[in-house]
Amino acid sequence: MPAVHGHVTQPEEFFAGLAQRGREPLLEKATGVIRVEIVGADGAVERWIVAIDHGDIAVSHRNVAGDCRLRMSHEVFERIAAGELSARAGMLRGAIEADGDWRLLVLSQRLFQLGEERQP
Amino acid sequence: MSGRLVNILDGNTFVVSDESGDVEANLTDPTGLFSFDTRFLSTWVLTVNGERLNPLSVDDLHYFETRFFLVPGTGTVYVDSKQSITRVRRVTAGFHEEITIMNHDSVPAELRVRLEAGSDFADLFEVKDALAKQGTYSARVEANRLVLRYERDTFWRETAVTPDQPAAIDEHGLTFDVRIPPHGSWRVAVDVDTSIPVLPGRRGRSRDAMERGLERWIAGAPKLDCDWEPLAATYQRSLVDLAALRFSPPIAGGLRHNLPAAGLPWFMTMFGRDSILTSLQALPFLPELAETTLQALGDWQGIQRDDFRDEDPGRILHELRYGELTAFEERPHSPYYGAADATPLFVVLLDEYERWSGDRRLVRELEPEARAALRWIDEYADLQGNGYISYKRRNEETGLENQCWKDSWDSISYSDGTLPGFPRATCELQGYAYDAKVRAARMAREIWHDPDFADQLEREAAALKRRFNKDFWLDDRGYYALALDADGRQVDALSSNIGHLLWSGIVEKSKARSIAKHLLGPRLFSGWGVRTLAEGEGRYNPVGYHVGTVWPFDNSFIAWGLRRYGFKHEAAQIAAGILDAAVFFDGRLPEAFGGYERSATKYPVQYPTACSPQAWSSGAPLLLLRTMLGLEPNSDHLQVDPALPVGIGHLALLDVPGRWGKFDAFGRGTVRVNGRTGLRQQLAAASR
Repeated sequence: MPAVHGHVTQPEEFFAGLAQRGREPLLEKATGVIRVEIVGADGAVERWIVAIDHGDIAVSHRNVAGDCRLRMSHEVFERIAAGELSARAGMLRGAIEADGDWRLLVLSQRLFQLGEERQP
Repeated sequence: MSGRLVNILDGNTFVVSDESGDVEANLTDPTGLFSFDTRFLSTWVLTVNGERLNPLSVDDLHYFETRFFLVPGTGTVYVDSKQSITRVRRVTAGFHEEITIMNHDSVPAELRVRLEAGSDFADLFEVKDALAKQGTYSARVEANRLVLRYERDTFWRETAVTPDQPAAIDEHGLTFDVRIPPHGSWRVAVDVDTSIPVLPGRRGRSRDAMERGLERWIAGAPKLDCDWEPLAATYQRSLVDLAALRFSPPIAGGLRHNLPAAGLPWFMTMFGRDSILTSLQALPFLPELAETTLQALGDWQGIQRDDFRDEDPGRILHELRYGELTAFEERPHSPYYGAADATPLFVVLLDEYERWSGDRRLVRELEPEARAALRWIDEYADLQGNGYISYKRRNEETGLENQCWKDSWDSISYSDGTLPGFPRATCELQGYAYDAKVRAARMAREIWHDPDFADQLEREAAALKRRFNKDFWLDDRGYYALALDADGRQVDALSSNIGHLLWSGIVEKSKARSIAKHLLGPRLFSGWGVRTLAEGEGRYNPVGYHVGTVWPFDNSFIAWGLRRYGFKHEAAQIAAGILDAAVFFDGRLPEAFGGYERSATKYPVQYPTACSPQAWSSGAPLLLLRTMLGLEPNSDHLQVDPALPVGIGHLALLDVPGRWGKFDAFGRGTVRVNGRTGLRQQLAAASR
């Protein structure tokens, strides 16, 4: 199994980190809107919209459909943000529902890897 | 399962059955219906009145469609049958099967037709390594369909079996009680659909769409005209098999075109090395494979250090999988990065693609990926700090020990048969690194407009070449060591890897003749091709996977290398041997065949578990055509400099696509007349 990291990242922290980043060269090929839905234990859905324009990242809560969509439980989100679970393995496992533009989905996995790298 | 196996496939969905069309797989059999690395049917047996059926014939209509002719009864003495049965099966996102029963009797036939269905939902890795499942199975009968299901935690896969006629359905299959009038017939069509939650709405293409797609594919490739007839058949077979292995994996990016899956049955997925080398072989014929391969591999390029996946920033993936073990991270293939050659070869393919296509846009688009790949060579692959690429897996449990194309455990050895420790720096990796730097320098100068970077790369390449020719050269034997071991000592076995060095250009001119002589000498050359390991080496075994067999793909790159250093006739001799061998496999070269001396066996001995079709074996005849005709892009022209083996008098390749538009290439050779008649004319036999 992959290495387990210690820090628990909450969505607010994770997406704030992305927004702060502003520009990410590794996402230069990506343009589109990713809708991330995080389902809490109580069934409430937290929505995050990550708009990428040739590597420029903007984060919001706007209610838009997006070019692709990722839906996961809060617990799965934490594990991915902590680098315990790869986003792609999560998709294959059915722990993440994913649909929409597949190229954007592939590149969007880098968001989570970057999230992990940002940790001290 | 005994007897011949019948395969149909489309991309990474395939069905392997016996000659009756039945499947009765045990865990370790690679038979059944597979899609995205999961077996969706492991039992699929047709009976009539409780009896199994006997095959009369099998027609391979297309790579995606087969027709089985059957009669009831399994006796040894043939009795005129009152019924005959056909099964026509076509690959979709699962498969579509049409069963027709004809009653030849003058009285009605009352028949119980039964289709037994079941699935073990094995991950292909479980089949390969005989592992046990951890999840639970269920089956449910819905309105005229049977659904088989496997689940483990959030992971699930389903197979739905739906007949278009009313059936009595139970959890183990479908039963049809039918009455067929005298000289009448009855038919049923059954759809087998596979469900993968993350890939919803996968649909097979219609039969017409598949046929049209294949016609377009063939029509887009150059036309071959040749007086040695077997070559036309081999060429056609290669084009069709590469069409069959085309694969447009949704999770690999939904790109415009397709890229080649590596091979049936174990490797029906994206491999960095295989996709790149196949794309290189096919460049003069089917350049779109290269474009897609570069884009998909670029999207998946490593961006971080991850020991489990052997990932580094800039590293190009080795293998991407979709099955249960990958999903639960019991295998690292999501994706796995443990290849030391794919990253420099990515840069090589990018340059070669542009030299043929003139597509500067892609070279500009992939500049960051190419630079990251070059950084990987210098910063992450130099494990010993000696300026060479070497490899040592960080995932000790499920990672690959040998991260070069010869990736079996015993492939890298000293002459005495002992195995070196890790890290290992195999020689061809240094050749690829050299070539990547030289080619990147051209791209930097001409397309990225960065002359300083170009100068730097050229300096590094020249220094690498100098050091390599000192450190790897075995002066007393006149060839390059297979590798340097962890202590920098030469791993001294004679191997086919030295042919890849010619291809890369890292060989000093003064040493090239000696390498060519070894490649065509009795220890390496079997008469059919160059052995992976030379006869006389400690681990040599003519049926050892990487230690004595002949690999057609390997030989195609060796032929290219020989041409690069001006050894036209030697290249033609290798082409002749491999193309002769292809005739014995009906034009479909297997992954590997035995390294036995040609004069001893007269025919190439197939390696027992070789994969077929396999993309880079299907690509080998294409690259051999290129080397025989001496095709080389030269700015906006296609240079042609033919050297044909004896036995081919005339060879033309019409409409070779490239930056020149379409160009016709012609070659003339010599044919021996008054040869012995009654024998299949073989090229290398004529010249030996």
